[in-house]
Amino acid sequence: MKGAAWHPKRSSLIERMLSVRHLRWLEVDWHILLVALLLLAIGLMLIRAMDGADDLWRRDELSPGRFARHLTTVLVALPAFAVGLFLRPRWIRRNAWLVYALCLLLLVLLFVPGIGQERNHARRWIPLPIGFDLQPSELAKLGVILMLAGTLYQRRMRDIGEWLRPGLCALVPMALVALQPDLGTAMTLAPITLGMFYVAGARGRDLVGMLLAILAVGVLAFQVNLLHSYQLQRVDTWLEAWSPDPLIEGRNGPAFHTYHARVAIGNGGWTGKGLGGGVGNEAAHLPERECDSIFAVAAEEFGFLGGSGLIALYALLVALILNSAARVRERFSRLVVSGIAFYFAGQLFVNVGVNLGLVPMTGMTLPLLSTGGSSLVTSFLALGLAMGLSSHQEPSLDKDAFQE
Amino acid sequence: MGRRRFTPLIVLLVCGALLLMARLFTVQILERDIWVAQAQALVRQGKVEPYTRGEIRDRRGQVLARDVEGYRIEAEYRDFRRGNALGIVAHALSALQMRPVGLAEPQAQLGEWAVALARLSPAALARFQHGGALACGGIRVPACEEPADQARSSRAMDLGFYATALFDLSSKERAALKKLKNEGLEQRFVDFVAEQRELSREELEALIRARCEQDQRFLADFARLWAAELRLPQDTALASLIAQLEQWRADVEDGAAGDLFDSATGFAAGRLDAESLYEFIDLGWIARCLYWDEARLRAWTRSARARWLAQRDGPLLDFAVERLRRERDRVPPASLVSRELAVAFVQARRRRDEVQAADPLRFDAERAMVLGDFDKLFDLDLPDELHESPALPLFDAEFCDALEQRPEDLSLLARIEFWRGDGVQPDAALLAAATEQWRARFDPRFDVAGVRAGFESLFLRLEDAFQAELLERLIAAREVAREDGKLDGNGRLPLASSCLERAEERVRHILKDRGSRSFVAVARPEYPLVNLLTRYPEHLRGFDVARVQSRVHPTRDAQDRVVARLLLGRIAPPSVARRLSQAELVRQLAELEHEGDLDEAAEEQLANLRAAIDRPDEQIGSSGLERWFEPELAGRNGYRETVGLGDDERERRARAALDKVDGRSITSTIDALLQQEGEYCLEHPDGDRDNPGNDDDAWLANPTGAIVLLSPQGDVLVAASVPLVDRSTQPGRRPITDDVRERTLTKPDFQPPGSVFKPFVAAWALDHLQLDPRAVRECSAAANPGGRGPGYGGVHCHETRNGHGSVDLHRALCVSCNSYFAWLGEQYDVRQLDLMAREFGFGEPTGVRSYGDTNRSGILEHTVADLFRRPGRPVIGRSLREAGNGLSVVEATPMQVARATAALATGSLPTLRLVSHIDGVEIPRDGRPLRISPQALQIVRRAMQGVSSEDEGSGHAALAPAILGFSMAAKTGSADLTSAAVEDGRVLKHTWVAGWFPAEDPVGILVVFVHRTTRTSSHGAVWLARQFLTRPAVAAWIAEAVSTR
Repeated sequence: MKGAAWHPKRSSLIERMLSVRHLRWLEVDWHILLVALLLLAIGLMLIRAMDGADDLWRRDELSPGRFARHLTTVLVALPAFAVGLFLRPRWIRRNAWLVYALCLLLLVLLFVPGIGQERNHARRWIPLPIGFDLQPSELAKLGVILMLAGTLYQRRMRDIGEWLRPGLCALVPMALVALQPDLGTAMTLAPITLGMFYVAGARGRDLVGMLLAILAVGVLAFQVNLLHSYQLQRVDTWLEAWSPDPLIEGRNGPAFHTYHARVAIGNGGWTGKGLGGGVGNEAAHLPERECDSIFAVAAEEFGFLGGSGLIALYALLVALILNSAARVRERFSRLVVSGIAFYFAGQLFVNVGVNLGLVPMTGMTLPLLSTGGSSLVTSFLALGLAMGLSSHQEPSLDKDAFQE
Repeated sequence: MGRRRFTPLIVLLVCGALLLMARLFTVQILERDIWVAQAQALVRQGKVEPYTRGEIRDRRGQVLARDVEGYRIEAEYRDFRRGNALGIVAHALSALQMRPVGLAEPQAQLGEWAVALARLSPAALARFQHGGALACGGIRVPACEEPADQARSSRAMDLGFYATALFDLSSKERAALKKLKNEGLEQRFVDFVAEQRELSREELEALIRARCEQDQRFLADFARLWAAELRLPQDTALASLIAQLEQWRADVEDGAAGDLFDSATGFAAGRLDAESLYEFIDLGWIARCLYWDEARLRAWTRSARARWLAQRDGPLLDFAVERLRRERDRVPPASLVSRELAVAFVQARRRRDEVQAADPLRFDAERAMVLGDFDKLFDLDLPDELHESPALPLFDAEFCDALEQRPEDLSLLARIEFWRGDGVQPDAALLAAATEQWRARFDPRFDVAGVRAGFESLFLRLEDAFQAELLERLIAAREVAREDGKLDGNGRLPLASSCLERAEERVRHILKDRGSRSFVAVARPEYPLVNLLTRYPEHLRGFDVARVQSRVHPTRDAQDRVVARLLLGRIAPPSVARRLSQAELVRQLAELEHEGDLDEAAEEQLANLRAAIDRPDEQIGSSGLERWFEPELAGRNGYRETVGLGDDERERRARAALDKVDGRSITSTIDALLQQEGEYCLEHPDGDRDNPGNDDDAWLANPTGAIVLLSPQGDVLVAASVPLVDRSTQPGRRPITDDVRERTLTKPDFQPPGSVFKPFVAAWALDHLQLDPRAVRECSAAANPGGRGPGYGGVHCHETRNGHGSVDLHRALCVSCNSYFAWLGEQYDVRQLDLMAREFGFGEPTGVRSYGDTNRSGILEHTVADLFRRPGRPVIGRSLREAGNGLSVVEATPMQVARATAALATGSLPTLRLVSHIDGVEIPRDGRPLRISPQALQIVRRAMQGVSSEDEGSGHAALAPAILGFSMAAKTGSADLTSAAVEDGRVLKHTWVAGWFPAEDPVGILVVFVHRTTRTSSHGAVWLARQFLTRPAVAAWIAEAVSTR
């Protein structure tokens, strides 16, 4: 009717969060998904072969139905990719703090009896009624990325004052994760943080300074025994086990895991032992074959050529995501996509580094290869986010879109 | 920000990837050989092929000892609990209720329990795993908030396993079941399997019940046969078997708990007393791993302590003392003993080899000690003083410095003995006495018993100090933990996460390893038991028939006892000394096994080492012929090694192959039949059948003695001794007459030959003292002024009434006149007595130990080299007269007497043989002619023939030709032990008969020895000799020997 006021149609929460029509399908970096799916397929092959080896050696009691469980988890986690892909950048930017707060809440809930579950003297899981154990620290990585992007996108990081708020945003979850205790995961937040600072505009020398400060804190913590004794033990073991002889000598002590990982890798040679072959599967002494040590299994089965190929594939994934980030005009999205690249890079270097003895032992999965529901969900969500944010056509209308 | 910001990141990414690849290259390519070898060691399988030990045969070829391949019933508890219905259900219930459910508990309702388990579903187990409640067969496990605290994950996994174990799934069903488990469906296992097999649920459950019933039935059958083998009551056979299975289960679980504790802490649980262990340290994690309740946990702490103490008081001390003995010439004693003490306090899995191999004068006591890592046991900030005090009390820097500077100073050891920990110095006099005591243990010779006693004393002293130190530290740690709020709910100290992680990484392997170790259920089963197991293995899982080599002795007496077992000896596991002697070989083997690709020489070395090192089940000769001829009887083990666990031939390759070499057989000179007769006669002596009132009834009831039968050439045909069984009924020290020992070659107490010595005295005197055999001496009281009755010079003749009157040599030998030989003895001096005795082989080895090098052992022979000696007094006068009668200053073993008698009979002193051939090759005989004229020998021989053939001969009553059927030349002899050894008013004596038969042309030399009797030889030993010689088998042998001569 003439004169009647026009009210814009109110959209639902889902419509505000997700949008299919804003996605520029032709601009989606499908090659990222391709590489990711390739890695996923390799992981599935490895897990299936592991099951076959356990079947052969009648090791039912070790982890029955590992492959089927993993496949189920993959199928359950896949929708997270779609969610990430279709999430609207504007919604993300506006609600990054919400996601962050949710992650912090989950991290805090870990310490509430009856909610958080303790296993092997660490509180890292929240069992869900659907038979799935949620690991908040995995989600927290994404939450930190989003929150950091939310605080960094308006900053140029030229003076140290601008570091404070973003720094705190990273430090709080790092501290909560470290209290679980899960120092490995806490430490992977550091390269994500530093990387995003860099992308946000921090100067190289400032970053180097920050890195040195973090290292100094780590060394100090080690020297004055601020760490748990088992964490100190891991550093001791790492320092002692660099070369073969002391590692072999200490193989039945704290270096047990490191030793078996090294044996499996070293046994691979140029071309590997074949799928399901090798001592990692045959003797099954290697702990956490399907998650933390999966790279060792892969290196043994595929050899140096295959293992290097796997590292290259991962590096390619990270490079593609970084390339995607470089193409994103909008600052916030760029930061998020970069953060996701740093997330995958951090996991790659820590997990492979641990298996190769470059880094002290810590429990960290290799995304897309390892089992672990939370890791898979986070990885798919991250991939979806990275691909979606770099191809959403939703105008930012923010100041930074006009800046360069 | 522009794209250019990303370029450095890409570069960094590439550099990082290259770094990872470079490291990968280092490990996979440059270090490949090292890691490939390690990988191979993880999957290497070797098999030792045991040799067959050589046979021992008697002179006729009858087998006395040989190896046979037999069977042994072994039990493997892991198989039992996973395969037998009773084991499955009991362990499932343990997992369900998290308490140790005994095997007997579900027995009555076994089928129902099995069905209840089969009615579980994956979904229910998944809920249970995450803390949900679970109901099964009337048992309801409530929900919990902390599933990890109740080990829900492993319990759910175990329940899942046991719930389906009774179905005997095919591989297709197994794969389908995995899918069911993963999907976490509500469908029950029994429904699922019924569907797979197209049966109804009721039918399948009936089958499960039937399976349980069958397993129970077979177990009962097994129990009956097993109980019969072990001579247990039949009516409680099954209960006994269940009890035995429970014992094995306890052993497995105790062992696993011990391994877990050791993995976590680095030392054995039994090092702490049980109360302290339980009171101070949180052991709940062990209970969770093994589904134990508190009572079971407590029981384990006690058994761990008992096991440790048994090891401490047994093998630990044995090995320590043996190592001290072996190294005493190389290392100064104070340092040697201190180092050995320190080794006993070193963490088992760390640095023991390092401590032993290191410079004996200096070792890093702090790092190695059991308590060295005490500060890492708990996640606590312990006060500095706990780090500063030495882990092993007294072994502080000052003490170690003193050891380094004065390694020979035994007062340092004495200091340990008197150390009190309060800084007060021990009394100087006591210290000096203890130091001197230590010196005497090493100088002039190594006193094994003394060193063991001293070492044990020091070790216990240190053990007490160690316990006190540990307790102090635990109390301090508990206080710190209490202040920090880190004690568990029961006020105990939780171990550090790193310790628990270390243990929990190995739980499955430890449980599998311990459970897979077998126990011997029946060592030598009879056929029915073997048949039952081989026909129905699927119903008797957990029990297996293993082929083993065992040593059997086919030649047995009427009571099924091994003939000549004292001579044959035994085989036994290797001694401590032998095991230590192989320690270096074991070390070399371990080094080789961890190397990479071995060249041909190294592979050969590896195979040789494997073959040379004793097998875990190897048995070595430990006494008798088995031990003496160990180098000949033992062969060499073979060895085959493959790499790879698979059956795929491509994956396995043989390497390090060595063929086994069986042992060589030996032929003993013993005649089994005659030996058996000898043992029988000794165990069942007839005595004087014509005049039983003359017998020593006490001796006849419990005979002690020996019989030796030689061939004239010196082959030992019979060497029998009694007693053959332990007949002591009183606790405490056993009388020497009850000792089960070889008595033909030894003399357990004072053992003079008595009058059997007279022929040798006479023979030598005829030639060397110009004795006139026709010269007459008077044997009467008148000729013995000052004496009490007939005799000479204080030596009384046994013919106590009127004496023998006038006697020449012939008569003196026939009637065994002491007066004559007292006089004859007086004609000798000590030197001549010695020459005479050694001419006939007295005081020297008989030759039975002459084969092989001087390091051999197993056959004990007393040579009695100290003849004609009297401590502090010269052998003159009366001693000479006694010597002439074979008394007081002369002793001999039955074998020496037999050898000397053979010399008399043949004119040649033989070197005796117990073994004539090795693998058919004869051991050469040896001997030497007597330096006595044939005429002299003939005179003595005729007289000895008169002993049995002439009416007044001392052996005539029993050994007359009319009685024996042939003539025998013999000499009787009685030797009073001491006037204080009296029984029934009579002086105890040893009595002898020594002689040969037939007198003219001997086929056998016989010595009979009766130990500690109240009757003279004429009333004792001769009857035994007669009994033996008239045994049908012996008589037949004599007849045969005479006819074939």
